[in-house]
Amino acid sequence: MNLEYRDLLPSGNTNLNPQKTDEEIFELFQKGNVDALGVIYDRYGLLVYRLIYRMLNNSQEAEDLTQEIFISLQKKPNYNPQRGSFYTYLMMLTRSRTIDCLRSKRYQGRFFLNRGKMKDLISKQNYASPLERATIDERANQVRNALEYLSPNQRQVLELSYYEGLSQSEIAERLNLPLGTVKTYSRRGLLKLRKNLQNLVN
Amino acid sequence: MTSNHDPQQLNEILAGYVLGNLDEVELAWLNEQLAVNPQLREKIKQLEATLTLIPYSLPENIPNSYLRDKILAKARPRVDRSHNFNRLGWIVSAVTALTTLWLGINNQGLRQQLANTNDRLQQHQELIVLLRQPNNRLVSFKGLDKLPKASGSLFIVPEEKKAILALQNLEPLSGKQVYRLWAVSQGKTTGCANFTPDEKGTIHLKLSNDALNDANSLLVTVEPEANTAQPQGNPILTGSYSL
Repeated sequence: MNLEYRDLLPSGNTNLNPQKTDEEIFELFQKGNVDALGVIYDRYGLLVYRLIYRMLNNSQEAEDLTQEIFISLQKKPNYNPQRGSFYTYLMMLTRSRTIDCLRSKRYQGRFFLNRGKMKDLISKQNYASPLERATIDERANQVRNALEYLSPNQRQVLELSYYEGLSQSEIAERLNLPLGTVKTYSRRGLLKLRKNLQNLVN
Repeated sequence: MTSNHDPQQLNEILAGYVLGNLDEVELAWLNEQLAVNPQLREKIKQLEATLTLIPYSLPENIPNSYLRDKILAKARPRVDRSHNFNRLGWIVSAVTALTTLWLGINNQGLRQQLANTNDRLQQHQELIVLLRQPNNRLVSFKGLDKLPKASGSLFIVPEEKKAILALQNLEPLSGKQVYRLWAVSQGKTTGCANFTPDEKGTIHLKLSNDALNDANSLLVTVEPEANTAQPQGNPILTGSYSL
């Protein structure tokens, strides 16, 4: 992912120049610079947490899993730059781990209990710097607008697939739609999204 | 699935691949396409990247502010902590070793001091024993012309056949020269001991010589060398019995 700016770092670690790419920062982290993980967290911790929270609907579990995912970057750094950007890897890893967690919860019958709970009270304290927040907010607006351009069916199918990890058959069953239609909604929805988010993807 | 695909159909297959909803026929066809056109992988990467942007649209929920610190604390290598521990352990060990060494040396010093004290005590006890002897005799020494400031005494204990000589204000000697104590009895001079004073010009010497018991008078001379049979130098101190 082509990030347009890097925030000024709070620490005095000169290796962690804000102009460095995610991939360069991650490489520093792999070489033992733990502060580099702080930079990665500042850039994407919020998104990782939000994705997990959206999928698990539990703030404590979201924090625990966020921590687990960032620590796993240290223990099992499987990122391969040849296969895509670090951000894509991180978010795919996050989604994959959260889906595992969801399936485990479903298996234990706890998931649907949590679904009925009132949403947790979330701290609104802002830990990211203003510039980081500005970047996140700017991208958030772009993505929200891009999603608005999808048809409601496309958006719904994509979200059920992405956030809840449901298979196309499960979505078809839940929405009472033919399987082929569900597939078409999700595929065309994704293609339209790519077109509308071209500047962020490239 | 035909090989004469249109671009829209190909894109949908690629999107289906990224979404994980291809059936077996579609997957097999895509694999064939990937084999002949590896650049399709770039499109797959773009679609994957697109999908991972979706979370940006999520509500602005924020985790607790301590989460970042918690993660970093956990990521800090334990090696550092154990290194610090080892360093601390090393320091403790070093201090312990040095303390032990110091105590050892100190102990050795104390032992030496104790031994010296014991020696002195023993000497004093011996002296007290000597002083208690009934037939003890004391000889006073006085310096003659060449060494008027010299003085001292000789304490003789006949029963023990021992004597203690203490002289002061002697001059240092050069070469092989030594001071020599002589006992004079009935015109006969007998050499009893050689000695050289310390840097302060004093001498404390324990003697055991039968000749002292019978001596009428005592002399100290400076001799060109030790153990001369007869005095070769003039007397510089003479001693006479006080007791």
